[in-house]
Amino acid sequence: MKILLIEDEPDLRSTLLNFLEKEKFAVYPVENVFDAEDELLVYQFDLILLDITLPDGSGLDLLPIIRKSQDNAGVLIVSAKNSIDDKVNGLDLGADDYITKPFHLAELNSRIRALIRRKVYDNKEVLSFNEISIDTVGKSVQINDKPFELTSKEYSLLLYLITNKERILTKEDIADHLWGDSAGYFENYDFIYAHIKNLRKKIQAAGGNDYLKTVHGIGYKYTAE
Amino acid sequence: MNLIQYTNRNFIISTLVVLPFVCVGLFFSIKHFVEDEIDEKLRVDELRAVTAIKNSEDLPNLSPVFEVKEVSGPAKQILIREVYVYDPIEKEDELFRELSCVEEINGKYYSIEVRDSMLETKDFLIAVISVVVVLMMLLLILSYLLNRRLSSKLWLTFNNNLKELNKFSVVDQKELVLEKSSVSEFESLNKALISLTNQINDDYKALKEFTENASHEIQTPLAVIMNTTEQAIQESKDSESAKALYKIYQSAKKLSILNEKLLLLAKIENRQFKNVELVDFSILVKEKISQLQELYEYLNIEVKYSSNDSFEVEMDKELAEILITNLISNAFKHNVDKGEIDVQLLPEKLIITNSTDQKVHSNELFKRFVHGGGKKSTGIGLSIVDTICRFSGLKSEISGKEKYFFITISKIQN
Repeated sequence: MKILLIEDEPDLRSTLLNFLEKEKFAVYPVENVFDAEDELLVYQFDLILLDITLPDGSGLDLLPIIRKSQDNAGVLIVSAKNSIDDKVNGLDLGADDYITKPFHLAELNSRIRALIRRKVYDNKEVLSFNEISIDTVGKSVQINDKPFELTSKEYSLLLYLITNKERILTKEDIADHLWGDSAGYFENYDFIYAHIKNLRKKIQAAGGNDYLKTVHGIGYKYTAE
Repeated sequence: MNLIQYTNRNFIISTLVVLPFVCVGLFFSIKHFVEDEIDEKLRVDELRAVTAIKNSEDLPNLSPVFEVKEVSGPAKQILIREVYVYDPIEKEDELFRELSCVEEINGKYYSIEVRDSMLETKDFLIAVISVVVVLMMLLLILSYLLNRRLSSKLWLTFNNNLKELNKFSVVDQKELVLEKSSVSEFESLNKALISLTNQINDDYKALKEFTENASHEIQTPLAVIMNTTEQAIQESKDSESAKALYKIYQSAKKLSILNEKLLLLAKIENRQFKNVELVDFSILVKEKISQLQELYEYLNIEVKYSSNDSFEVEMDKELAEILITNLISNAFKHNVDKGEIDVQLLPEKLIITNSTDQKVHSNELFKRFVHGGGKKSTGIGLSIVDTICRFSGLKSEISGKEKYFFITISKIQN
């Protein structure tokens, strides 16, 4: 999987580069519109991570060039501007998704995976983790090939855990993913324990293993270890 | 009262005050001159009488205007006075000005009385005064009309420019265009206004850019801190350092939420939310509550909603959503275990009640960074509520009773 990473902030670029390479992506980092244009004209990418505010122009100006030069690249806008106008503009100009800084790496990972599933695998990929498999189109889960029921929040929690398997996910991270802006309704993030407990119970009742480990004081980790 | 009315009123009042004095003054001065004239005539008549007696003509007698009698003496100085004398023609007592004296002519004494009727003088005076009053009234009306016409013409440019100025909004970032005026005071006012509004526009633009830049500049390093610590937590070998990293991560997260809220406040105060439409609060509140159903089931909080009427407000849709989110969020955050939230929609009023164990129940909570004791709260949620209300023609009030906390949102009555 080839990702073009367009980000002008060197620290953030190297963090993202480091993370994405660990996730086994081939990453091409560039820092401005000019270099991005060069890469776009030479290579085909599966995904483009696009920062809007760049030193030599707006990332939005690259969207028409991406449309012309790329056959099937997903575009994920990464912006510090949490404004509806920017979001709508970006999506209108052909971006596929929009994520606001600062974000959780796991959240970025799950957005990237979702985009790749849609764009590259045409939604035909079935996600699986040992005996658990997820059909992301039908939004259904099977354990040992037997379907079982989850609420939409539990489904999205399981998908998030499996997408980010072998990774410590903080309570904040999970809460933000499940509830988005509504995560702010809570005095603290302990409420996600209720989601976790219900999910565990259901998976075990359906004959699945409990892969979810508690990382004390921090969060959770989905691991086969 | 506008300036034209003000000047006209003053003009009329002062004219009406001065007019009686003018009339009185005029009356006495004309009377004085007329009496002088009459006295002179009487003296001439008396001289004529003396001349006539000297030439020993018949004693002229034409009562009541001319009476000459031979008397025993002695000679008397000329005396002029006003007297009532019977006029046989008019057949009544009439006011006359009378010159009387006793002159010694050819060794004999004669009493001479010459009179002139004051009747004509009175008529004359009345006529003169009336003419003056009428003339002055005419002048008054004419100058009033002229003043009004001229003023409204002079002020037309000013009034048009005032309309333009009222339409001026810093959010539009449009330059103020004013009509040129031939009156130098107005023209210098225009110049001052144009330079003032240009300055405001520039400052506002700079402030807006600063706000956006601040957002970008702060969020990016925060993203670096959060993502680096997240990654370091993954790679840390022992749980102690992982927890230390997690603390950094949590603080960065809190800072980022705080930054976002402060930026939101700045944006509201800079009036950057302009998509004003008719927002139905009953629909918004219902949507929000059903979205959060799973949440309050987990939190063991009972949520009641009752609606008697629609509550429609002309405001920015996004702000309305933020307002409802913050209100309900506040009710959740400061609630108690097995607590309750009651959302009541009355005509033109929204009341949110929640059970709480916090003691502070005053409008103080609308101030930034003031919180009722919740450890994790930023102290900005209610400040956002209040700011949105202030910029959307709404009013927010906090009250409390025992273990309950109330927030009321209502329209400001005009």
